[in-house]
Amino acid sequence: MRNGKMSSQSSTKKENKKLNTRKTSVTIPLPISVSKTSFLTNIFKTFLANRFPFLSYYYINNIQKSCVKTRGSFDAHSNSVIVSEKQAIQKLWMQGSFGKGNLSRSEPTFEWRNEKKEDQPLSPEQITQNRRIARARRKKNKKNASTSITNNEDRKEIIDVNDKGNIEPTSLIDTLGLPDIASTSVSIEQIKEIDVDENYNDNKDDDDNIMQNQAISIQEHLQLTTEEAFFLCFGLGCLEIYDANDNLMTTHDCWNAFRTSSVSNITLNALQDSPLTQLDNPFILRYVVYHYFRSLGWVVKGGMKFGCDYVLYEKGPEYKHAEYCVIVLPYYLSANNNMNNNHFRHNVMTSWRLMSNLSRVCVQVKKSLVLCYVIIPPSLSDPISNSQSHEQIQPSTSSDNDQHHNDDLNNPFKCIKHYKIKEVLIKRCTPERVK
Amino acid sequence: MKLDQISSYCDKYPQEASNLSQVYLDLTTAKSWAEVKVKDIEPLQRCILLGRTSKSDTKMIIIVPCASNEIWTIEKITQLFSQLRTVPSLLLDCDPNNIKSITLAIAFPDSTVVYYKVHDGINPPSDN
Repeated sequence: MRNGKMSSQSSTKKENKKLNTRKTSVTIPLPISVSKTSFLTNIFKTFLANRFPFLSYYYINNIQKSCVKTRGSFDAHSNSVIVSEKQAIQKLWMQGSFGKGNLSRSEPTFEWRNEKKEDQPLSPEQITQNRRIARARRKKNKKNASTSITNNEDRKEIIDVNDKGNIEPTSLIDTLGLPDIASTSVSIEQIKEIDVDENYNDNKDDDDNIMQNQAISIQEHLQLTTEEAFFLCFGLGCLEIYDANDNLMTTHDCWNAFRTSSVSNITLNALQDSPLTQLDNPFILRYVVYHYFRSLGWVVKGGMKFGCDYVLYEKGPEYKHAEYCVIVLPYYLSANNNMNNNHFRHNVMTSWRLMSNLSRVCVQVKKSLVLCYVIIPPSLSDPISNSQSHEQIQPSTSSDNDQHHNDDLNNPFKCIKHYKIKEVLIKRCTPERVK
Repeated sequence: MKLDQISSYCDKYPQEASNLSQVYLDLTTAKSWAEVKVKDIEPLQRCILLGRTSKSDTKMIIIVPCASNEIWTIEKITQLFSQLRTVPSLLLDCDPNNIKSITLAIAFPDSTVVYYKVHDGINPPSDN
């Protein structure tokens, strides 16, 4: 009996949720599809494909559908990859929370928020705006009420008037007799109140038209950072990236392009080497961390709103607030590396003051701070970093080493393997409170 | 299309084009401000936006779009204020000598825009 009641309550709650909010149901954690059929049917399918290619056309079609790649275009100026097609946007957001709608706070809901449904007079965005205006009005009323109570002697009358809610300025001045400074200020506030109400009605009509027009002309797209796009392209193989001239970029092209664009023009002039020869290129460091946490199952999103590099969600932004704030820090193995021209971290971790800044901000947003050290190898051709056992070290010429180094650096498949990650969780504690 | 209004400015300052367009779109569509105007400030080599949240607001807010990897030093901010004050008042729709604060609109690669208000000098906290 009890269980029956509970379930009916929860189902109505869910229904209410669907009406009021728009939560996407994320059931697939990443945009890759795995064959649902068993091992035997797979063997049967391949047998058919080999022996009766004509009959297996149907099966091949199904396979092709699951391998359809989404299309993104790389924009070097904004250092991002843009996905414009509606279905692709839905797929990428719902399967892994990739990217951010450029006209929304995170989930691309611009169209949904601004469309007016037939049975409701206002669009969701207008409902939110009205709620904000009503909240601002209530705040003002509270403020006026508190100032008038403290400054005036006729407290009873003031309280009565406040209970009503809507007040006309003339009646208030009458009840207070000769206007003091306090009462005149209250009356002025009241007049302003009424102005706000009038404007509110006007705004509603105008906003209606503006919203409708905008919704027609503006198409929201999904904006992926270069790390997200590279993970989808290189790690999962479900995204095809095109450049500004509409040419398909290979994984190697993307690797080079993203590394180059991650270094801003200001620092480019100050650098001695090209960004493509940097072992501590910002894109490599950030990507390695992104790839690491994604492969552990975390949903990794940008952390600029919280003053860090990344934030980690357990399932996705729709479910729970992020648990961890991640800062990416380089750690150089060899002291000989002339990394003085590196602008990756502008003095962030050079003092405890800055560290405590960061820690405080994280506590305020109820997240734990994770320092993620990326251990940068001295060079990619170093035999010690390449192999585990020392027996495999062979004497090689320096030119060979350089060649190896450059080849590996330009090959993402090989380059990424050389980087290692070490995470450190930082928590502020007071000795008296530690139990 | 909305972006037609700023396309000429994007061509003029190609480095600032993506920041300008991101902030402009954010204010006009996502934040639905009542009025947003683009002004070309040549001494700064960038465009700024003048905007009003709703029609009842009296003062125009000055928005300066910038990139996330820009380094803002005290000198740069002081220079920004001093250059803005030399701009003719007709261009800015308000008294240029009276500019007390500007808003930095920092655009990130994932299209997040973060707004920070910068005052010239010490300002007492408002009651909001």
